[in-house]
Amino acid sequence: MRFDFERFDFVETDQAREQAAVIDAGHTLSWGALADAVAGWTRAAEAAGLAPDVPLVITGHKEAAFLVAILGCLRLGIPFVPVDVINPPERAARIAELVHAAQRYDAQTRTFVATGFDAAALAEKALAYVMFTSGSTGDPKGVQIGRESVGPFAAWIRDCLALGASPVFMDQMLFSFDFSLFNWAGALATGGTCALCPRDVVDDRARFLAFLADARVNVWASTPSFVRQQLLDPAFDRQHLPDLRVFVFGAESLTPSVAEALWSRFPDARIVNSYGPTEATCSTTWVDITPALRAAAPLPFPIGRAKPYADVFVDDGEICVAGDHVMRGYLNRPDLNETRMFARDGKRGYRTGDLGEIDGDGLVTFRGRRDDQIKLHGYRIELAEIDAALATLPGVRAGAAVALKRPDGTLVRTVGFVDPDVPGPAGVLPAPAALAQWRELLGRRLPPYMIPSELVVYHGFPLTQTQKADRKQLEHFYLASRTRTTKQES
Amino acid sequence: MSLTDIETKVSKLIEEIILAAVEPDTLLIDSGLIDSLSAVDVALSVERVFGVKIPPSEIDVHLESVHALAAYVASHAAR
Repeated sequence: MRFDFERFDFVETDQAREQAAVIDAGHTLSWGALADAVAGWTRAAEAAGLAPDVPLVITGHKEAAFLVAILGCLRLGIPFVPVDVINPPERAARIAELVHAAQRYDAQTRTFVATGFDAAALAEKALAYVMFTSGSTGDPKGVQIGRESVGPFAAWIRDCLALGASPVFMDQMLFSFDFSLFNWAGALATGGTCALCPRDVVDDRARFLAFLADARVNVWASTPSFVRQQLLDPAFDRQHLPDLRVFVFGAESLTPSVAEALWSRFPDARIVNSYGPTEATCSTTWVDITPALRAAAPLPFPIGRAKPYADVFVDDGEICVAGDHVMRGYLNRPDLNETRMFARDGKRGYRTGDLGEIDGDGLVTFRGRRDDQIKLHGYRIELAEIDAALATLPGVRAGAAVALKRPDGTLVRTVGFVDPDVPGPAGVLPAPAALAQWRELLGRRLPPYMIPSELVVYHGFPLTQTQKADRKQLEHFYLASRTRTTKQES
Repeated sequence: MSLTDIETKVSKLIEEIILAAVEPDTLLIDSGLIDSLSAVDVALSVERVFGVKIPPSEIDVHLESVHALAAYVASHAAR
């Protein structure tokens, strides 16, 4: 069997129903069992009063039940809103409020839970899902993807990527991170298998490798950061994982050094680089790192060419995408939709905010951001969302997050600056007792990857001409005062 | 190489990775200065500079501080 992402239903194929469809830490669901579980879930959802166009928040981690609920939502026309439990409960609740979801499906207990908010149908009809990304106002920002966008994406994996019969995809990415769509939609569209790896499995290296080997994983999609972590383990190689043959990267720049390190472990592996904002259904461009590209070794590798259904061009240095895979718009953000979206040849278009170059063959290279959005280890973060959270700390009147960059351009970590609400001259102050629990306080609003690595109390931020905290000056100040090398040079 | 020399080298190597100078007893992982990705960079850098491999499962222990890492390097460096 396979799942058809045009009709959102299971389709019989020559393959046996007994073949594995979804593997998680505890169980294996065959294709037949998956179809039955989805049918059972849709009956329960209808009994719980769920209806088309009224969103459902799904919480959990990498359980098969999470995927069953997603497929059930797609069957019934219920927009699903995935929120991994890595997010603090306050953030999940705020998302339910923003999206007007009266119910949440808890994939860990397999129950429907009332959110306490009133249900309302979304203004946009026939959505597949709403995914929340970091938002510069301090509130997460909802990206609305229509049902028409998912089919072309799944078809690209099935028809263009040529992954062979019934490929097994490793999926350790959070369901709330849209790159995970590549794995589960890819596995289900091709009649393959999706191997869901929860964090406790990933963190235990021996267990993780055994899981990958037992599941006979063929396709590995992740951020380059994640694969780089695996390279520390000498057993991460072809000998231990003989079935692993394709690596697909996205969400951050792929460098020749990571690719070469990977080829030293998996000499025959195929490496694909891909790119695309959440606003355009997971990915928009892709490229095989061919022997010629490998030899040229550009830093970084290009992010590829437009997929068959996508239109990609560079306008005034900014990468722009258009096609049926582009979102319907941000939820309740007409201001952003006005400035970021456009129409082109009758299709929706989106200005990504990513800077890039495109060559005569349509090959695009990413060259950074035009705003304060960063990618830290593949996580998309609006520095302004951290600023807003910092500003809620006790006795603080403003916050500013700074991303520290190594000379080669790699982002290392973020530092949080807070401006205390006290009189006196400008400068660094010792942290007051009220800020002793700053990590815990921020952790109530932000997922762990958005919490700064360090907090600096700095009275009277340097400001830009537009009266915003001057991140460049703060970064300069930090490096000048905290590193010996910079001190010697200045 | 004396333990002090190793400590100096280790602290320079860490500073280049996390972009902050640290004291020999600064807690690196507990303080949040080193996350799992920087830890990978430190381990690879230690291997390159000193020829000492840190088993992946022991990274959290040996990267506790500059002092702890220097001691590990000193006891495992090729003599």
